Order: sequence, then C-alpha cells, then structure tokens
Amino acid sequence: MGAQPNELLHGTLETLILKTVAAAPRHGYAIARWLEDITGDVLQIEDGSLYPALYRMEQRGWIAADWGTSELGRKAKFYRITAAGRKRLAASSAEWARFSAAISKVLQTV
Amino acid sequence: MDFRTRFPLRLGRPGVDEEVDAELEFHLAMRRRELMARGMSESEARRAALDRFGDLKRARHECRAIGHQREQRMRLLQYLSELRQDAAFSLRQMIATPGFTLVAVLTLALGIGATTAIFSAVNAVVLRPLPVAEPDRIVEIHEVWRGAGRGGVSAGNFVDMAAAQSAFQSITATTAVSMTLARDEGAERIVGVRASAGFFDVFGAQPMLGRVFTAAEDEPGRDQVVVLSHRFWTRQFGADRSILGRQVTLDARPYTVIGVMPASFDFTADAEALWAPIAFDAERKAMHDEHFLDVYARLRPGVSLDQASQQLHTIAADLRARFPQDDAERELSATPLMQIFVGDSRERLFVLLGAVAFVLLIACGNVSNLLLARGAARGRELAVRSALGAGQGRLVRQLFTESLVLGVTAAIVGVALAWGLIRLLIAYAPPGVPRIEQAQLDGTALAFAALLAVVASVVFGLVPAWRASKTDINTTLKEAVRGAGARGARDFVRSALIAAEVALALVLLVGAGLLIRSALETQRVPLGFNAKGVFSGRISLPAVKYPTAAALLQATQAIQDGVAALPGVTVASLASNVPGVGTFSNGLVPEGEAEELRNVRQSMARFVMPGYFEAMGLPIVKGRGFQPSDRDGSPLVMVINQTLAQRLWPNQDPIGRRVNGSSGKGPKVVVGVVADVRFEGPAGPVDPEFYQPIAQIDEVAWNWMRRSLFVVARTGGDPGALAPGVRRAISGVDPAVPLYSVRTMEERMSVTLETARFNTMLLVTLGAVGLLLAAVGIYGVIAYFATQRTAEIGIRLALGASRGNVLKLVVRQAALPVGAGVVLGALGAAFASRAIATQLVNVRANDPVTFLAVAAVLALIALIAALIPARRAAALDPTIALNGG
Repeated sequence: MGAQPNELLHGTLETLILKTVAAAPRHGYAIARWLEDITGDVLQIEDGSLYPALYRMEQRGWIAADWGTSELGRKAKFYRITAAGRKRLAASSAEWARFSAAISKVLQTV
Repeated sequence: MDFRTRFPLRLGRPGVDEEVDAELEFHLAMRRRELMARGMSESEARRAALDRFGDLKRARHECRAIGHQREQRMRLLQYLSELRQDAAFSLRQMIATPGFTLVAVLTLALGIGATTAIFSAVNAVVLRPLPVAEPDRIVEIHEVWRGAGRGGVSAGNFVDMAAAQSAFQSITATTAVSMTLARDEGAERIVGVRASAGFFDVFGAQPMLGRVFTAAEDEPGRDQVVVLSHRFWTRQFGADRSILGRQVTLDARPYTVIGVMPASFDFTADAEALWAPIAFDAERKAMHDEHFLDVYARLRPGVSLDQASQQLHTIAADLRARFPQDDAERELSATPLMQIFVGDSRERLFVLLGAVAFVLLIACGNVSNLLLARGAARGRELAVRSALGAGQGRLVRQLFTESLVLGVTAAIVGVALAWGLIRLLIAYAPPGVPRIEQAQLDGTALAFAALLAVVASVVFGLVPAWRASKTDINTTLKEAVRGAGARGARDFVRSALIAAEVALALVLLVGAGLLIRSALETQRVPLGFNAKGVFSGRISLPAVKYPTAAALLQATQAIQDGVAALPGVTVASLASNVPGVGTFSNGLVPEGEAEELRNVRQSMARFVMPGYFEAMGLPIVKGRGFQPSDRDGSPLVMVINQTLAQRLWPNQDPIGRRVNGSSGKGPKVVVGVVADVRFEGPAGPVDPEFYQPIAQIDEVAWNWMRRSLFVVARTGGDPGALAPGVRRAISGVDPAVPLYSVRTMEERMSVTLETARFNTMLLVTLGAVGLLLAAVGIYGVIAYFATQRTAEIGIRLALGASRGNVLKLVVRQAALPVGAGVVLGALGAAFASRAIATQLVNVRANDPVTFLAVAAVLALIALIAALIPARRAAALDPTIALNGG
C-alpha cells in the first residue's frame, strides 16, 4: 500500500484524466504513464485509484470506452472523451484557474 | 461511430467481471514490461508492479461494482427507449389507420367506461367501510321469532340483555322517529333517532362541537337535550357555531342543543337529522312485549362474533324462561352492521359489475378480431423485422406495447365516459341504495380503470401476439405475397373468439330476459285494491297536545270530515298504515281456543276510520265494513282478510265469530271479510291482516302506530292535485300538524318496483350492447372469411354453383362457432342466473322459455350478421373474383 495521493483536491484526478484523454483515446496504462511523465511524479497517483475513477467517469458519461488493439498488439480498453466530458473539462479548468489565482494572490500579499 | 458502442449489449461483449480483470491484467503486464526494460528481473518487476498498483483487490471490486451498476442502467435505458420507440410507432400506426383506431378505441372505451362507472358505485356503496372507528366491530342485534327474519328488540329484553352481556364494550337501543320541528314559518317533519346513552360509544364517534348526551340525561325528565347531525345543522341553522345551548321545539317540547356531529357521521344523504335520548321509564324497561327497537353494539376487543352470538344465545334462553308470554320462540342474533347497511344492494351491484365485465370481454373479443385482421395485413412487416434480427420475444413485446397504447387510449376515453355514466347512475338510481350519491371518479376508480386498461390489453392482445410469435418467417414471407397466411389455425382462433362472444352475450341476455319476464309477471299480479285515483299523506299528533285517545279521535274525525268535504273527493279516511309503508303485527286467538302460543295467529294490524275500504277500493268479500256506529262503548268489531279467515277458521264462515287479542279489552266480533292486499307491492307476499276501527282502540295502540296516521282520499280527478286542499283541511283543525310523505297510492306501489325496474333496465341495456358488439364481431369475421375465399367462391360460381350454394357455404362457417357459443352460453347462464334468483318474481332462474327465446334471438341476429357478407359474396362476378383473387 502506497501513500495516499498528496491531498489531491476533490475532482482533480478526474480533471487530469479528462485532460489526458482529450487529445486522443488512451488506455488506462497510457493515462497513468502520461500523468507520471507530465507531473514529474509530483502527484503520486496510485495505479489502484486510477481505475475506479475511470469507471466512475464512464458511468457519468464524461468518457467512453472501446476495446481496441494496443500499440504492442494486445487487446486493451481505450478511453476517449465525450462531449459531456469536454464541457466538464472546460468548467473545471476554469474553476482551477480561478482557485489557483486566488491562492497565489493570498500567498503574495503575505 | 463504433458499432460496438451503439449496440453494446447485443454483440457478445464479455461480461463486466472479465472485462475488469482483463483491463487490470493489461495494466500490470505493461507496468512489468516497463520495469523489466529498466533492468529489473521478472520476479522483481512483478512485485514492484503490484506494489505500485496499491490495493488491487479493492480496485477490482470497486470497478466491478460500478460496471455492474452501469450495465443495469443501460439495460433499463435501452428497455425504456425501446418502449418509447414501440409506443411512438403504435401511435403513428393508430393515426395512420383512423378507421381501425376509432372502432377499436370506442368499443373498448364503452366497455372500460361502463365497467369503471359500475365499479365506482360498488366502491361507494359496498366496498368503502363506514366512516367510523373499526366499523367491522359494530353489529346489529335482532330478535328472531320462530327462526325467521330479523325483528326489533323489546325495551325489557334490551335492558336485561345489556345488563347480562359482557361480549360488547358498548350497546345501544335506538328507534327512528319522525318529529315535528317548530319553525318560525310553520312546522316541518324531520327524521330523528332516539337512542340510549351508549349510542355514540358504539359508533366510536366524537362530536365536532359540544358534547353528546350522557347516561344521566338518558332518564325521563332530564332527556330534553339533542345532538344535531352536520347536514341538519348546516341546512337548518346555517352551520352557526353558536348553536350550543339554543332551544329547539320538537313535538311541542323544548330541547337544548348540546352538540353537533361531524360531517363524516352522515352515512347517507337521507340519514337522520338529530339524536335525542330514548329515556325509557320504569314501566317501559319492564315491558318485554313490543319488539320495536334497533339495537347496535360494539364487540369488546378480542371477542369474536361467534363468541358474542354464543352469549346472546344464552341470554335469549334465559329471557324465554323468564318471559314465556312475550319471548317464547324468540332468539337473539348479531349481524355485522355493514351487512345490514348495504343489504341486497351488494348482490344487485355485483351482478351489474359482472354484466359490464361481460360487455368489456365481448369488446375485447372484437378488438382482438380487429387486431388479428390487421396482424394478417402486417404479417409481412413483422416477418421483415424478424428477419432483420428482432427476436420473437422482442416482436411479442412490440405487439403488446401496441395493445397497451390502444388500451390506455381507450381507458382515457372510457374514463370520460364513466364520468357521465356515474352522473346518470346517481340521477336514476332507485331509492334505498345507500351512499350511491357518493359514487365518483376518485383515485380508486381511476386506478381501477388503469388496471382494466392493462388487463384488457393483455386479453385482446394475447391472441394476436401469440399468433405472431408462432409465425414462421419463411412461410409468412412467401405466403404474404400470395395473401394467404396460416389459414387453418387462424380461422380456428377467429371462430373461437366468435363462440366466446356469443356465449358471453347469451349469458347477459338470459339475465336480462329473466328480469323482463319477472317484470311482466309482476305486472300481472293483482294488488288486491284499486290504487288508481287515491291520494295519501301522513300526519302526526304529538302526545303533548293530544294526550288521550278521546282527544286523538276527535282530531282524527275532524280531519276526516275536512278532507271529505273537499271538492272532487268522493270518500276520505284515515288509517294506521297504507300499502307500501309501515307495518306492525299482533297475535290473534279465535275464541274457544286456549290463549297459548301455538294457537296464536300472528297477523298484520291496521287501525282505520270508516270509509277506508271504499277509499282504497278494497273489495268487501263478505259482511260489512266499518260504520260511524262502531265507536267506543259499542260492541268491538273486526274485519279480516281472506288469508286470515282461512287461518282462523278454515273453510268456515267467519262472520259473527269472535277473536281475542290486539287492542281493546275483550273479544272482537268479525263483521266482514275483505280481499287480500299485497301490502309491499306486487313482488311482496300476502300476509294475514285484520282491521279495527280507530274509535275502538285504546291509548296504548296509538303508541304502536307512533301517533301517526295516513290520510287517504279517493277522487275521480288527479289525486296528486289534492295535496294543497288536504293541507288546508288539516290546518283548519290544527295548524301545527304538518302533512308529509305525500304520494299517490300508484306512486307508493311503483316505488317498490323501481329498484327492480332500474336493474332490469340496466341489464337489458348491457345485454343489448353485448348483443350488438357480438353481432359486429360475427359480421367482421364472416366478412373476413368470405374475402379470404373470394377466389374459391369465384371458381365455384364459374363451375356452376348457385348463389344459394355460396350463401350456404359462407353462412355455414358462422353456424359452428355460433352454435358452440350458444351451447356454452346456455351452460354458463344456467350457472350465472342463480345470482339474480332472489330478484325474480314468479320466474325460475332456469326458466326454459327465457333460455329458448334468448337463444333464438341470438341465433337470428347471428344469422343476419353472417348473411350480409354472405350475400355480398354470392353476388360476386366470377370473372372479377378470379382475376382479383
């Protein structure tokens, strides 16, 4: 059992996943790898928490999944973003920007 | 878009669990590969990958749970979406075939509407419990004399029973009384109830205003308090809340209003207006004769009706032993109040409900036939759908959805129809059906209509859907082109539907026929008197103003003289009862026989003024009627009817013989014999009756008639027009005496027939509708058969068959199912007609004349329905038939 992701704000993982699959459909492992690469291991996302998040998001209709063939010729489940997912991504990106701007402002004034 | 996401469940996608496992396994394999590429050994990589993953078990479990949820939701969504598609498709189809839709919807709506209307009446009258606490614990207690009927309880018996019993937590004796309410603008008659103190406990009712009377007030001298019903309080006092403590004058005595009951305590529209203490005095409490009280009681918790009956049985045995004169051969029995309240309305209404259900079934049969006909036309469409991958189950579901859409549409129209029918029902219902005015389209009735829509959809949709599910794609696709279809089986199904419709219609018509015969028989029954041209109305002479028999007689005489003097009146009289209303009995013993119970002839008593027999047109068979000289002090005389004459002195001349019993001390001499009267109308029995002159009865007998008399007057003109004159004549004697219950004798006699007439009319209407629907059904099927055989008929005609042969050929196809239906229906009717046996007068429930007549009518109508399409077939031009076929 690894450590809990360092206090990821509620919904942040989902936003990151949406961002990850926004460009092109990816399978779960690719999403995990991409997050590791981009965030440079700052966000220690446990592989085990990624999949339930993916399933929940699929149920909410933000992403959809199809079985396809991976780059190595194995069958893999590919997630892609839906229209509802794009809307959600836009909304939470904006919210995140407002939030971090506010925090930065507070930190600067001190 | 990916094919698999559009049809996610159809195309063998692996189960949720396998999918989760495969996905997680893929992830771990990729991670191992990556770690090994970085230089780990395989076993190190395996461990590290798992480590990195975290709680694999939990993740797998969570993913599976979410996946399952999702799958279920999608299945539901798909089902709903298919349902919507099917429903939309059905609606489009209904719009595309307006003729079919109109006929089917109207047929069904008729059935559903009528059934819903009758149901709402059944619900209001029979099913709905009385609006009191635990109504099923309330019983009515009767005295049963010689094991028959349900009679009133005497005051003495009530007091002794109340003291001895432990089965009831409260018990009350009541009697309905007609009282005169003094008003600023003259007097008014109202119906009230006098009750002993336990009354409101028995019914578990609390007053809305004020209080109810106490046991202390149920005593003579302290009893001048009154509790008003909500309806009376609203009507008479404008729902004035300051009514408490006010005085009202009833029968010339002042009463203080102490309470008002809630609206829910008005059980029926004609329920009593008020309640006052019955306040038995000591003499009355010791009186074990005069069995006139209505006794109600509430069972103690934990005591069953059987246990209570056991106890009453013991009490009755004790009363018989202690009061052999008054209580011999009397038993006590308890009956649930609801049973008495609803009475035979229950039976009548359930018969009607059964009858409308039959009409609905016939309607379903017709719609089923229509759907079959359309199903044949749509065989190709269904086969194509099937070929494109729709499973049999899916097709059946689609057809059922179509039935359901049709059923629901019909139910909506039907409910609108029911709304009107309920109003008609209330307006034309016979008197005496309790709570019928409360029939309405409430939630229960609407739920019932919805249930009918679903059940009817299944009933009429079953056969077509079953046919569709049996359809073989290949043969249908091939045969549909030729326009044939699996004919043998389909013909059988259609014929079976016809047989069923005929059978149902026959049962309905037999019921209607029996009631009609009964009505005809009833009209032939002589009443025993001439009701034509006779006026009748009722008066009451309160004890406060007329305390003695002499005072009562004087007023009675004055009123008779006043009415007799009216222009147009040929003869006027007064009597304790007139045919149709009120009755009390007395035991007579012929002189010479011991005054023992076995010698007592229980007979109906009538106290009359001279001229009564002439006024009523009641023939004097032997001897004489009463004369003014038959007065107090002169020899006591009596007139008996023929039935009583036979019972007293079989086959002997009764004139001059003497009888003991009834009012007046000493034996009475029989001076005349009059004809038997059917007192309760043509459907009623003939009872032994005796008449005594009012001038010769003692004061206690005035109490038996509750100080109330009927004024009767014969006129050559319209008896209904006499009322104002009679009212004036009475006012001339005493303006405080109101005339009420004004009716001609013909009206009184027809009231007793009204219930029977109403039932007959409804059942005849339903029978006619059923017959019409069945005829339409037969016509439709025979017409279909004839069309199917157009080519064959063409060949036959071309080969020299006569028109008559063709006619026979087509009609014969109807003969078998109609014949089978008649036989089945007759069997069913023999069973079902028992339900109306008690409503029949002089006709047996299995009356062969009715059965044969109805079967003949039905066969004739069926023949006509079959002949129309048969004649069309016979008129075919062979060349056109062969080319077109």
